[in-house]
Amino acid sequence: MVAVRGLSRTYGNGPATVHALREVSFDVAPGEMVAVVGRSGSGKTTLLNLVGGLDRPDAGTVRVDGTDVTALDDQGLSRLRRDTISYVFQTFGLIPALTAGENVGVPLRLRRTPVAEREQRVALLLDLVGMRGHELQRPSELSGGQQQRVGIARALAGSPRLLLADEPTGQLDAETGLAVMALIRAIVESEGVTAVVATHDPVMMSLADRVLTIADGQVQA
Amino acid sequence: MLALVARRALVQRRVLAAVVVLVAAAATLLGVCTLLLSATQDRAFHAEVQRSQADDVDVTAYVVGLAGSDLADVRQQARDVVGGVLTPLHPRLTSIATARMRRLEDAHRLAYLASGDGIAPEAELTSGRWPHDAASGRPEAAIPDSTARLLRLHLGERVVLGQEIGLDGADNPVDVVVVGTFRPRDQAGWQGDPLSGQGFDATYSDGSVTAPAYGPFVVGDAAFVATGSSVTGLRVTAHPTLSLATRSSLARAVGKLGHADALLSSRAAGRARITRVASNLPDTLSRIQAQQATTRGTVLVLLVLSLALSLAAALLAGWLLASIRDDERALLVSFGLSRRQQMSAALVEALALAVAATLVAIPVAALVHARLTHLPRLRAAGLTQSPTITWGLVLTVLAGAVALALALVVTVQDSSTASDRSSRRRAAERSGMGALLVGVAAVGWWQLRTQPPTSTVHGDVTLTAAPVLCLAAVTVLAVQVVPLLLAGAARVGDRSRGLVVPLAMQQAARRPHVGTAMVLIAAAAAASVFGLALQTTWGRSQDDQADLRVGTDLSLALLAPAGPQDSIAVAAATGPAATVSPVVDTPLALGSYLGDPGSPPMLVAVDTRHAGELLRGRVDAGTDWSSIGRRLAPHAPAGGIPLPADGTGVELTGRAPAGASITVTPTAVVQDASGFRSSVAATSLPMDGRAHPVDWLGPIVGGARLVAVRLDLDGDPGIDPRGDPGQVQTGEMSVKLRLPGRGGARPSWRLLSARSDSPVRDATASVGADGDGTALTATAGIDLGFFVYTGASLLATALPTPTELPVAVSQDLLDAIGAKVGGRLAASVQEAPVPLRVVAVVPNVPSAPGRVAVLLDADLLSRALVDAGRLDPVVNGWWVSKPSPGVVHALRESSLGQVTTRHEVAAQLRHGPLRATVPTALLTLVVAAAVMLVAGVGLVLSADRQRRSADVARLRALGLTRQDARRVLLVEHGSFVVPLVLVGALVGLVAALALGPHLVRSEVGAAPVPSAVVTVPWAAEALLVGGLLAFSLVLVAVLAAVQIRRSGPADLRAGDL
Repeated sequence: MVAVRGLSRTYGNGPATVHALREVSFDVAPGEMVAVVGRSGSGKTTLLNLVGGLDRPDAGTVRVDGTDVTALDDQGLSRLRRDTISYVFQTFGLIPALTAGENVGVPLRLRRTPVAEREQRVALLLDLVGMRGHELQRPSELSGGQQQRVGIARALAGSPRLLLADEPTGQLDAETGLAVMALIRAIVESEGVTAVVATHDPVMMSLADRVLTIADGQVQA
Repeated sequence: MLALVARRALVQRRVLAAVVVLVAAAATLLGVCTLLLSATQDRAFHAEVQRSQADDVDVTAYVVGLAGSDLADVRQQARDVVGGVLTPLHPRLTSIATARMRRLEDAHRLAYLASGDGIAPEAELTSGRWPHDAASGRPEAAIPDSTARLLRLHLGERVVLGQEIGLDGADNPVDVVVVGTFRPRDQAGWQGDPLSGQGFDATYSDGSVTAPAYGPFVVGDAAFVATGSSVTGLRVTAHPTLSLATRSSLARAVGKLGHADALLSSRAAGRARITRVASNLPDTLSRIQAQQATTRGTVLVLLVLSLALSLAAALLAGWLLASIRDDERALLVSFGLSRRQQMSAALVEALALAVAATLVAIPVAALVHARLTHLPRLRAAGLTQSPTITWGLVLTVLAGAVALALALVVTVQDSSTASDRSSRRRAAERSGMGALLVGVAAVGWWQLRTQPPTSTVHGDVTLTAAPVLCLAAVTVLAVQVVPLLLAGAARVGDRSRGLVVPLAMQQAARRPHVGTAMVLIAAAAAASVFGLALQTTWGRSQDDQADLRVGTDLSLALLAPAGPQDSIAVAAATGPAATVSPVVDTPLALGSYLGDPGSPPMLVAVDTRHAGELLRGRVDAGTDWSSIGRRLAPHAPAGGIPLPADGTGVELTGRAPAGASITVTPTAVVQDASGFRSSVAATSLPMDGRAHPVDWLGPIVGGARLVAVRLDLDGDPGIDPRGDPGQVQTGEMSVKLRLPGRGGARPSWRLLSARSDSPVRDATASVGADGDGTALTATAGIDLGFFVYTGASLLATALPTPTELPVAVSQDLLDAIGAKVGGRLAASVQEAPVPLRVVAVVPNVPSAPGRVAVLLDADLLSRALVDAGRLDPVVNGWWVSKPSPGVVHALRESSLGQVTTRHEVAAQLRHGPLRATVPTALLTLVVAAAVMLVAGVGLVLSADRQRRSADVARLRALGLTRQDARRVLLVEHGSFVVPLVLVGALVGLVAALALGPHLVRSEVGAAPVPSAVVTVPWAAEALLVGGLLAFSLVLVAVLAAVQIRRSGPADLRAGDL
């Protein structure tokens, strides 16, 4: 599903040069859930951004479902993110002005899904993440765990084939984090989604099919 | 703490720089307004004083009843007194002495001498020269044109002024030779003249003697004294040097003026009958002060409006700054930062910002003000100034900057407590505020509506505060509509498939903490639109006032009633193409109604056949001056018999009753080619049955027609008046006036007795061919017993005259005396009864704004006056429609009288020194409000960019294309800004409609006449609003592009703000 080859990314220049990733290569099979672990600043987020096409590598390639992400133009990347990849953010990433239901509906609107179908799927997804009854609440009216559940529902709304989650429990307490991790694991299994999850959480690592450790911008054996 | 503030300022230097710029801009605006109210007003005062007419500022001492021997000393005393009043202004002193009336050679007529250096400057020499002064020899004299014409005096001719009338008068005759003729320049300089500069008064009376009077015969000073004449009036005038005038020097002069009367009285005690010192200076000063107060009031409105906008902008900046610092504040509070410490830090920062803004604003305000004064209008008004920094400017700018910067502190304080209040409480507060604002707006509007119509020298708080309160209140209420509109649009968008528009509308509708921003943007748009509409309304009102004040396009006002030469001169100056009308503009007696003190009813008579072209001023909807003029115009034209040039060849044959020895004195009423009528007397002729050539005493211009002739009969009827009183002895008389030429169509003539109580019976007149000429024959029976005591006077007239003259009356007349259309008015003009019938009501009669006045046809008035025996012309001016610059110049050059054009008066009202500040300040408001609007939009969007950077990154991560992300921002910001600008524009228009007419005052602060009419410059307003929208949207597009470009993956990890 994901094939990363010789991926490098450097920030800054001169003495302030930071090598975020150096010659990183790995594969992720379809339906596999991979946990990317490493210290802060080790390059986890950079790796997810490059896989998702949010950032451009200095060298190397990323293939997602056979598509060379690094070769896509802006339109192609947007299409890829809209149809194939979805994100779960550490800070939940909900649009403050929209209700929970409207947030979940954003990817469907991007695909111009018919209204009735959209509403049906939003209800289904909110039910899936245990947020039924919270459709009309704004993000500011939800707890962190609830916001992240809504974020996961939104990530699934477009029926992605690859789910990228950047420390999805980073801002949650242990109990809520555990529930969110279980939810992701359950969804990966039930929806057949491939997931790459950047995390510090040992519990998350235990739920993953494979753990990819990054240190100093390189994947450790 | 200070270190923290300094470090934070360093980090947030861009935001703080923007705040400094905002506060500096607002403070600059305050500074500019301050300079407009102080330095410009001082300059305007000086410029206005410089433009004052001599009559407005001169100080004059009047001394009445003085022996000739005391003249020199009393004159010196008077010079000391009036000169002392104006000492700091280095006055120029002139004097005029007028002697008592003397009898002319025929003893029936009077004339008088005058001398002094004050005469020549007030008169225009029309022929010859001014007299040389000599104590010995025959005195030389210059006389008015009218005197020369009526006494048939020519240069070089001698005339003897006999003994003085009255008791103890000098009885030595004075033999003078005429060396020059002159015409008075304007009425102001001739107020002290016994004949008011007219050169002639047919019914002059000094209380004991009534006779025709002529003069003055202006002689040299030494000659005047040498004649030994009694001085009836001495006038000494001090003319100040206006370039030296300052507010304080004039105020001091007014103060001294109060004591001058008593001082002169004491110095001339025992030698003069009456002394008085008078001047229009106090009135002039009051008028200028009233005008300045009016201008200041309008500028103050704009200042307060600008201040309110600035305050809103500062509050908005404060809110945005506070929101940027929310996290930091929460962190510091969690570390134990007290509220007092927060406030101290905010205060220090605010004061630093204020000082920085002040340092920028002071020189910028001085420069902007100087630039403004170089605008063409202010330059033309003489208000140009170089950059000026005054203490007033420094203090105002500093105070303004501190006040605005302190708004930042208030927002810090408020943001820390806002969360404490429940939403229900806030809703209740909003409802209460809404009700309060409705009340404030209603009270403000009502206060404006009920302003007194009179002027005030002092500033009017209502006029200053009410418009601002109304505008602010209505804006605050109106912007509440925008979120509702956006919410509605968002609901509609929610049902669509796409993302861009629904998301944008949701974002716009649910934008947090936007109250201040909404009010600022809408209020700025409102102020801008309001300012532009008010400027146009104000300008239109000035034009309307000028229209009505002048009454026509060009007015030529004569000092004395016009003569035929004046008519010829006007015709020559205006040419055949112009529409010209003789005008009678004179006080009128309306029964027992006298009018207000100093404001008698006025009569304005013009050629109403051309009313549509001539008259200016608004009339009621559905009518115009042409239609009104048609109702006033004569139905039948005046006929008459052509007269040869100079009246040569005219013969009179009179037949008296048998035994009677009667003479007839004809006085012709002639009408020139332009329709102007004047009378020409002739010498008496015997009624002996023989034809006598008529010897006219005045010139008869070529092309004139005889339209009426009065025949004054006098002499011995040949009967014994002590005969049988029961026996009526009558006799037939006839007078035939034969004119050369057949003359074409001959109108019917009427023969009237010129007096109601008359010995004339069965008078008839007829016109017929008489050989190769035309004969006008008047026949009548005469009661000879009656005639012996009264003589007789007959009037033959070809003028068809209605029994009642149709008039249009002013609304004020209607209100004052309760007249109605179709009603009759008993009026008299110069003591001649003139019955009037009201056929129309007009808001105001042209040239008589706000006066009780009637408008009628000059021709019909002339006919009625001729019928009433008043043959002398009463025309005292001409009105010209659409004069070319050449015509204006020619009329001015002719020195016939005072030429006033509507455009010049309008220009004075619009762009005079005391007025030019108003449109400039309004223009400043429009520009300042537009800047505030753009600043408001920029502030909102800048803050949004910081607050929403993560949103854009997330949407991009969800698959939104860059283009769609830009569209979302454009639609979101556009749907927020555009309705606010449009709502603001609507509020501005409504405010202009509701408040505009009440904010426009006359030049002296009174309600304008006619009342102001809202004039919205739709094209300019559309351009303004379009420009504001376009500029805002460009700003939106630029900031959206920047926001999209700067958003990146790093933002994905940012927390929600």
